Amino acid sequence: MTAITPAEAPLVLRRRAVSVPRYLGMPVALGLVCVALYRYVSTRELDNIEARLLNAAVIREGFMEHLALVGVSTLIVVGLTVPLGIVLTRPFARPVSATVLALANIGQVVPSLGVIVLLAILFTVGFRYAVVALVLYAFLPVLRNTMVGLQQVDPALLESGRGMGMTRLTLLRRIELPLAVPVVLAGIRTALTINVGTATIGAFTNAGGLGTIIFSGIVQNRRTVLLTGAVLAAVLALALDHLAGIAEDLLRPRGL
Amino acid sequence: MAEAMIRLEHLTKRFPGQDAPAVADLTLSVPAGEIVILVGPSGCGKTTTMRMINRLVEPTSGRIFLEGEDVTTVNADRLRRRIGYVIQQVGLFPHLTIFENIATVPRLLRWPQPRIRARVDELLDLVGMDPSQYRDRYPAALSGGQRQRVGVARALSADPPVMLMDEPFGAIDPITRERLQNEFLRLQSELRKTIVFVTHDIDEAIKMGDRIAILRDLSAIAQYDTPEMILSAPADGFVEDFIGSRASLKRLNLARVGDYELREWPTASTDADRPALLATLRASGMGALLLLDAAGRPRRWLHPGDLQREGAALSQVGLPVNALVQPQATLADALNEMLRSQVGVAVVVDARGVYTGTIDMGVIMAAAETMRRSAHAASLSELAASDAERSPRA
Repeated sequence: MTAITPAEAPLVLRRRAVSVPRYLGMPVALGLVCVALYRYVSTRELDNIEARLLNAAVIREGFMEHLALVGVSTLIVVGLTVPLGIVLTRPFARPVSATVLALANIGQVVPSLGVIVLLAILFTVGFRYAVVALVLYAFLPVLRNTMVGLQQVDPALLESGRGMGMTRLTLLRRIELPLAVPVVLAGIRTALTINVGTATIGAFTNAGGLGTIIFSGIVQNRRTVLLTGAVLAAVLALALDHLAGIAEDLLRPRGL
Repeated sequence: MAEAMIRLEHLTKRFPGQDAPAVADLTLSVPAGEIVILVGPSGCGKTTTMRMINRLVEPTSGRIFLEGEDVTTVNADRLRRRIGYVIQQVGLFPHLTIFENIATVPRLLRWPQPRIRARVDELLDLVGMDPSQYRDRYPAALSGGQRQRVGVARALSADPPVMLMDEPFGAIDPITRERLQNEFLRLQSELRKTIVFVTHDIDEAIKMGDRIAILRDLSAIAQYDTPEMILSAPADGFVEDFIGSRASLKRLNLARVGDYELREWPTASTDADRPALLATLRASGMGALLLLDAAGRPRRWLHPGDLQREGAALSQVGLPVNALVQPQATLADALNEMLRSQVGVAVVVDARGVYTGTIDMGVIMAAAETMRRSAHAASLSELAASDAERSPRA
């Protein structure tokens, strides 16, 4: 009898599961949604108000503004949280890191509308302050993921790295950060999605974006306008989430 | 004692917020090329002691010497690149290939790439893993035993004179552990590294150690000696308790069958005639004859009754020989075989399986007696030596 013991069994290298067909489903689905939306809107007789809102120029502007709000705020969030997360997980910061993590958890339950309106009251309205609000709102979840990502690295790896003579910086660069990447990216992905939704509220503070279309639809009681804005915002959220998912797969270190 | 490779002088470690020190005033010399085992109950400070050698734990006071150089205050990262380090959890980096894992220290030392490549292949060969097959794998694709081998290869990568091993075989199943221990001893017989090895398992200590330091609380050395001496002349009750009640049995692990004079046993060849064999057997006063085949390999035990029975060929009668040992086997192995044998002796054969003699209870008793006496004599002469040291001052 030839039983295959684990030692003899062919050990297959675990490869990153990157297959192009798997990534095509979502774009195709989102494309179909957009086409359906377009056909629905074009079959309807648009009145004056609707025609003013539902044209290529307005939609493009809203879409681009929205993308800018999300993109700029997410970039700032990543730029701030990753270094801060690194600092807060160093041994000297251990006394405060637990408190920060607890605050980060509380921060997530603060309503986004509140944050944006509060900021608008405190400062002023416009794109810049909407970005500040979005940064504040997405800051804590990404910070939390950065910290958790770094803290979940197996202490035995740090011990063996230190024991072999890696400096703290080398250890961070070659071991800790690569191993934290999946968790940090998951945080950024969440922040992106949250920001697409929260950015619609930016319309209240004159920051532009798809929110302008949505709220015009609500205020002026035009269902087609509301629907168009809402569907486009959802499509944008799903598309960004999908792209972030691909980025996660590509950037996840091999061997994990 | 050979020249000390590692010397610890009056090392003390106090962790902040603790009243009692973890290690108090420890002085220890580790001779070059030997395996020194730090063994003791958990919490005795043995791991802390070991981690002070590569300064993962910075001593509160005292000095550390490596190859005669005071390394207590040199750059710790550079010091650690000179000292191999193996831990129980192995700690292979999961996102790096086996090659990259083993290349860690050479890369820190900025070796040229071709040299690193050659070294990694050499080390994989050394630990019995085919480089072409394993080089580009990730740790997740290895078994526990293979990972520990890579861990040892990684610790050896920059050919450090000293290795620190913290319960390296602790988390491995018993069968694999035994194999890895034997492989490691074979490796060490070629490499002759100076090794500090931490374990809580006294049997592992006896098997692996050239010298054993038995530590009690605060890393105080209860006894620092060869396994033979520790087993034969435990310094005090603590050591005796730690060894356990089977010191004499454990001591049998230290002696090899080949080092003792074997007993001859009456043998017979398959073509001999039965009445002559019966006469030989009667004359020998033994209970059975050992039947050898044409190549001289033991085949059957023949009792008088078997020889009197006519008909069947000699090679078909009697009892099979099931207790065989080779000269490299320990007396403990031999005793175990003896207990399995129907005749009460273990048959010693060489590598080709050819009969060379037998070993019986008498040999073991005599060996145990000799070991006990020589250890006793050694401890007496040690006492005399320390008395002589003291007397001039008196």
